[in-house]
Amino acid sequence: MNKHQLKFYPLGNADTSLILLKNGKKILFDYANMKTDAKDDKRIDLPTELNKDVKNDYDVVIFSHADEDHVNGFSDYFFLEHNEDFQKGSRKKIKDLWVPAAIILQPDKDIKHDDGKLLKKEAKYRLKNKKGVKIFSKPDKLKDWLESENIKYDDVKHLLVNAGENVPGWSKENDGIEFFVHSPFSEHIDDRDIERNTACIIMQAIFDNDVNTKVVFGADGVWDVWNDIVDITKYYKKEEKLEWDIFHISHHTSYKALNSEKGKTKTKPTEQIEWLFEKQGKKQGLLVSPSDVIPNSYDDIQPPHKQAANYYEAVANKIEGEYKVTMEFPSKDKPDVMVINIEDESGATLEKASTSFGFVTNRPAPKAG
Amino acid sequence: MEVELLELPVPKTSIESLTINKAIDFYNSLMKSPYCKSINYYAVEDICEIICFDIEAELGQYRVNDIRKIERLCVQFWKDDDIIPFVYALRKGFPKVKHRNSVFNNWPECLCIYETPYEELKVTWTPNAFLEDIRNWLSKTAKDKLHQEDQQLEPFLLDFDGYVVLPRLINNDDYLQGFIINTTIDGKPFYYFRREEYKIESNSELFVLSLVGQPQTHGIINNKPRTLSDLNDFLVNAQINLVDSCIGILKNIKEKNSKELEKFLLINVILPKKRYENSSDITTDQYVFHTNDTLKTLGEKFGIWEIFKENNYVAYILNPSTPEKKQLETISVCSLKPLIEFDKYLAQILNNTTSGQDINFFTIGLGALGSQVFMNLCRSGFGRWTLIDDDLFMPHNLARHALKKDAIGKYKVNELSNQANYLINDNTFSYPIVANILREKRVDTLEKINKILQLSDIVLDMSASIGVSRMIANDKRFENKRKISLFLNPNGTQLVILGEDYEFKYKLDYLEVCYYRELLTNSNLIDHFKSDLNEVRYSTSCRDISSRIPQENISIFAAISASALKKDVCRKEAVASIWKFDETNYTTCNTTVRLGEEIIIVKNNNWEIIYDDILLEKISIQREKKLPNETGGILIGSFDMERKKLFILDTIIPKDNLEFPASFFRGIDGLKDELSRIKKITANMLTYVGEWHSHPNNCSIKPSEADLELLSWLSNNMSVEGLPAIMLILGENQKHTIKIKI
Repeated sequence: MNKHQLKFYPLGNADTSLILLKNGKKILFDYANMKTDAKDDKRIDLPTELNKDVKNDYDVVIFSHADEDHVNGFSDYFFLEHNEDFQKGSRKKIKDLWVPAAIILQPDKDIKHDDGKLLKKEAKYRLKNKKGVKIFSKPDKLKDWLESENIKYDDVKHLLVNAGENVPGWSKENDGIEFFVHSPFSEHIDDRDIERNTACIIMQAIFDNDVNTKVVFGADGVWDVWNDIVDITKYYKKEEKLEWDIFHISHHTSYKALNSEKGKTKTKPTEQIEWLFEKQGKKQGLLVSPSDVIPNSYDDIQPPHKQAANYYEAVANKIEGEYKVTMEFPSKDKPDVMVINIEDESGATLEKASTSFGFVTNRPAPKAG
Repeated sequence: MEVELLELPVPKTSIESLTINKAIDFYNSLMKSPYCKSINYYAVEDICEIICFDIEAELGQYRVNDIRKIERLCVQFWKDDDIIPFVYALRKGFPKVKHRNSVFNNWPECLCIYETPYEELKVTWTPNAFLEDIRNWLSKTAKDKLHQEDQQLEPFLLDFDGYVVLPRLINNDDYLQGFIINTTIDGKPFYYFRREEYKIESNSELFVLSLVGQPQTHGIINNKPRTLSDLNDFLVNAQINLVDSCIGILKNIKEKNSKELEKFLLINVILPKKRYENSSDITTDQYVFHTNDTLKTLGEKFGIWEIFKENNYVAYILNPSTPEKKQLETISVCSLKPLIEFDKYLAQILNNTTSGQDINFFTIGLGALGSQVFMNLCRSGFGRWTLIDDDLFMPHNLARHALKKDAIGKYKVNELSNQANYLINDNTFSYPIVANILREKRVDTLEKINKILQLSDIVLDMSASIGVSRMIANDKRFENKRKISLFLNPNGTQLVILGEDYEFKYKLDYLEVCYYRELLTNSNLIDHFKSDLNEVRYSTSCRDISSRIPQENISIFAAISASALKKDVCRKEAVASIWKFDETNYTTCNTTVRLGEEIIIVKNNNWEIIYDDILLEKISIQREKKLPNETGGILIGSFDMERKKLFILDTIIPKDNLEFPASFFRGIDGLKDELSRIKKITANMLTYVGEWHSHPNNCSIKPSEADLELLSWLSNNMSVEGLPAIMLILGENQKHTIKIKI
């Protein structure tokens, strides 16, 4: 492949992003296979789609947190080192597993989803083995846990990554990409009860193409987390770490990612978030909402919220860019994988291929009588 | 960002009122596409229907050209479907990029989606593909990649009122010279510049003003200039001051006669162009504009002189002022599409002739095959040619010769040379010599031939004469010249190509006899000399006969010959091949003639005996088989009595030989039949030439007393025919001796 590629999948309100690097390395950000057998389910069959690009292993699989819409189907698809029951068949291996410290520290009772529980076990197993894992943030509670497990902190500290630094081992020079970690912060875990969304992994990726395309992966960051991220980033004068050409919108276009109030027709973001979107977005940039179709009503409780969508549309117009929803691309009737080519001169280029034969040949045909 | 859109000045209609099938199909595709929105329809009664829509193309975040994420376009479908649907961009300020069609001023930008003629596109036209091609145009234009690096630069003008055929100008400051023939085709002017030497008639009353501009970056296709004012504006970008140039020539013409003033002005413009601002590679466009004013009326409009209508008197104005734009707008100009004269260079490009352009051919024989091979290569711009033949062009030649009826009664070479030189606009391309290379005695002609021969690289024999091919193979004048011979079999179904190698290991006469040997061994070629076509008399003399070969066969073989010449003359190896046309399934197949690796030449008693390892191998195998006995047979070959050369090629072993360890009696069983078969297959070109026998191992290959007696017996018999007696004695390891007795 002569260019890097970024893919988003139509999974409803669920996140999965795949980064295919020029050097052949494959990085997956969350895995949530939401497809059901329902006839009108237009969500894509995630393993089938991923397997078109990934034949054996993933170099990195990142789980921003352990909620169902980020981990669903984890134990069906991956080779789990901690349990032989999950090692059979053509499961995909994970060379390096990246998880927030919260996953390790959360009590099982707080993890409602079985896949989340298995992810916790897998991360713990790898951490105990001191390889194949990176834990994001170093809260004191993690140190306590390490002590309780008789693991010396010094033996594993190279596996622990803090917010405000680049993920070690990855650079534009070597792999064509680098990651800057914005969240989780340790204090989010130490200062208050562990709260899922505040403890999720949020990062900025920068590619090595001519225009250094920047992607912010927003995971499920809510407004107060974003306020903190913006404040801290500005405090450390690292504003460029929040610049973006592509913004993977947090929380499926929920108003909660913008502010505490939904707003009547358009969510008004916090001051920090307004700065993040309206000042830090590059001209003709792309906002991607990993979500269901935007409703016509302003009254929906679950995301996506039309008010939030209106705000993102306004941002897109302001920067002459585009706001695209995974379940609406290229059309609501036939949502398909969103492929963004990271081109040298043109930068992020969302593929808008012909739909004539592609849709037909890309899927199994319906049953013939 | 606010976007201002152009409104179409035609009435809106509804989808139900659309009647043009392509428009309806396109509408359906738009409806199904996730990338199209807000569709409107317009109709101009009985002429066209227009569909207007917003479209998204695949765009990178950073764009070289300002293509927006959503562009409003419209497509104009024509009722008669005889013109390609036009695609217009309706956003005001749509960039003036490459690949737009020329439209009237103030019209929306018209995107040029296809290069292919619409008649061809129609066959595979689908509405969705059309839509995708439009989107692709936008995507690539955004990246400035629509115009490929290997694609020719865009012209400055695309739309013309007529045509002009121009000679190729070598330098930008070469001015047009010669005369012009102007005609009108379907109301459009067609001008044809001809060089003086081809002047037949001159109806040109034109005065040519040639101008050369400064290099410009390509990419913008301009509207066709309609007036001198438009043309002046068009040339400003090339830093040409047209008005000053016109004034200059008009002032200079003062002293000329009144006939000069009646000429119309033809403006020849050379516009250099480059791919990018900093490109050093410059190519040029040439454009020609014809004014509908004579110099006389132009001078008046420019205010240089005044004409008194009463007596048509021209009175010069002192210190004339520069003409105003309004005046220039009254002078209409006609834009002529420049077509470059067909010449050797264009011939080479169009035929993809990449080598051999300057090889000098000394060509003998310009009959049916020769003339067509020559004209094929002429159209390819291949080679430089001396043509030698003394034939007159006769009516029956029209069946298969490259010349036309007006050549009857003239020498073929003169007419062919004229035709070729005229065709590719190059008087040095070919040179005719009316001569019979075998019989020419005129001293001056011989001197001319010898002089040209010295400058020639290849001697090409297409005379179909063994006399000629044997002569050029052996005549000292042709030494150190590579010889190639092309000819057909008697009924015109097979072509033979024989060509010497660069080191002259394989001489033409050896290649010829090897081709006869090939006929004996290859069952596919057994009928090579068989002729089912009765010859036809074209006049009353006993020698006035011609063959009945179909022109299409000559054409096929002329094509193969031309192609082979282009390739083979550049190779160093010898060429010997036979092409057979199968008239049952219209295919041709090729046989490569087997040549010896080692060629042995023995000189004895003024005779030259030539044979090769193929013969030695064949008789050695026979010897080995019969050891410890001796064995032998007759030798098959060919005499060239004129040059005292003998080629030995093959053998026949009789079935009733008496073979002993110390003696051998050659038998006769089967000899007559086999010899007769060989003569028949080779049209008597191969025949009995002598005897061979083997000696056992550890024996001398010197002739024994019995052998010498045999040779005498043989000589007595052969001398009756005036032929030498040949005896070959073969020992172990192919050691051998050859005795010749006259």
